[in-house]
Amino acid sequence: MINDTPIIELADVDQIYAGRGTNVEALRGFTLDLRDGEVLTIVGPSGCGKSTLLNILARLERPSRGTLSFRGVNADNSDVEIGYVTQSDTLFPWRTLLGNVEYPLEIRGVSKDVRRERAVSLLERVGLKGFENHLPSELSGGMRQRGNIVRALVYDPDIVLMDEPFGALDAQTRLVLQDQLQRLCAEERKTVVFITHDLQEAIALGDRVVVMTARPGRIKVVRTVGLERPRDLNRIHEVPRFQELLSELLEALREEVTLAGHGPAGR
Amino acid sequence: MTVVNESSRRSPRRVAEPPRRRPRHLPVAVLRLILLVAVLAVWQLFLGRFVDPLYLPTPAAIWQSVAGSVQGGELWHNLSVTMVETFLGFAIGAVGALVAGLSLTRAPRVADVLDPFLVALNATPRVALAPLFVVWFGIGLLSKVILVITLVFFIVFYNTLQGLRSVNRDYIRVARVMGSSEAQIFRKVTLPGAMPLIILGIKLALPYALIGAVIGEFIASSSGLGYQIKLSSNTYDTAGTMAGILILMLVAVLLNVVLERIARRVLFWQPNDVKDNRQAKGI
Repeated sequence: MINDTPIIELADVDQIYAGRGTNVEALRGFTLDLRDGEVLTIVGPSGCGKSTLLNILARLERPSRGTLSFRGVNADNSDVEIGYVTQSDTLFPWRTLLGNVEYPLEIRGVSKDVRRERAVSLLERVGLKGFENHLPSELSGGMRQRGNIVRALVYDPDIVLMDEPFGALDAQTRLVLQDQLQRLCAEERKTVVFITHDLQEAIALGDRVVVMTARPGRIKVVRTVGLERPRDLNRIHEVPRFQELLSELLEALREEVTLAGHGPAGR
Repeated sequence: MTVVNESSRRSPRRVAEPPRRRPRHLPVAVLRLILLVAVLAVWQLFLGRFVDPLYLPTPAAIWQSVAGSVQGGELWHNLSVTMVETFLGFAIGAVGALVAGLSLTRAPRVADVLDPFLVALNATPRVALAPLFVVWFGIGLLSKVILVITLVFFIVFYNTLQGLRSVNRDYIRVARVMGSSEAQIFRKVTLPGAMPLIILGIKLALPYALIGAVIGEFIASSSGLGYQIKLSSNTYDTAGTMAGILILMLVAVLLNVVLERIARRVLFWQPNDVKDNRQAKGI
């Protein structure tokens, strides 16, 4: 379109950790581009370097080799803003829900009125109105994870990284949150990298799905989902394209999971 | 549906209850009071017959001794001397330990160099140093305050270090990705995250502050509760000794209550069961 420089560009990235005696190679030759506003989901066997990849994108780690650029600028010099949601609950327990959501705006020096207004309106959109003054310990797991997501969106980052955000939730709650996430990201036009070990979730939420190999993590398959949005997540399993993708990617994933020495993924 | 079900399951029990009145439970506070009175009564009425009151004075004799020193004014004087020593040493020791803990966490190399020395100092029995402190700092306020500082410092210091280390790494990572500066991370994430253990250290240190002051007074002094206790026991005034101990105990309990209140206020965000667990385990 107007700007076809990819918002995220990973070129030939290796990540190697010095271990005791041997080096652990987490990623090898990882190359990937993301368009603005794209939702990319990543699945792979456990320990395949998914989280390493996300840490590199979050600039918490530097790649041992290869480059990462945001909008054509090297990651070290880029002023791109990133939102980050982990699987574990990372709301600060000493702040209320509202205080947590306001935190990113607070450190940016946004005035109190403005940050309150923005936080309250986002909380309302994920159904947390009325819980603003609750402490995280007073909220359910699903509510806390919604809080985490809202906190990662409130400062309007260019990119949102999610590391199995719904892994710890029950199926019902997960479905509700997936749907809210889908709508929020579409409305806010976010570029999203979403890691999961649930292939159905990956297909349901992603514009593209990446299946990674067992360690060292490389890209095994990339597929464009090509289902139109907004998607009805309750019925998406009935769509032929979904089923077709699911069986193809499940096969690809199963090979890698077997290689990684774990049982087949039966989800 | 569930709501209706539950209330219908509950209501019959509620209706059935009144005729067969539940045995009334006395409040815990009342039971405690009864226990206290019973122990004191047994002590007062029977123990005196078997044990020479010179060795074990009766509660009444202890009470008379307390009343006597209140009337004579020594109690207030001695109490205030001991309190000043305790609070001065406690405040200086705790603040010093906080500053040391916070700065050493930010200078890991210095911390590494100092580590064995701090361990050695902490292992030194400070009470055994108390006579030296008297030689160095005299028999007045200073030697007691120094002794209290040496006791309080390490408790708060190590709890502060532990607290800062125990902060959930994910909180810090998330804060960093959100764009916090290192100073912001420290002030708004690490410090509040470390607060439970810092407060715990302060709570643990308080009784040691009191003990330090009293031991300092035992060794050499001319006033204070420790002095009063030592003087009484030197003259076989066991009632006076017990009176001093009683006052010390009351002071310690009172200080603990005050600190506990402050702690609950600062750590308002901690669920109560966490706090109770900690207390139960004596951490």
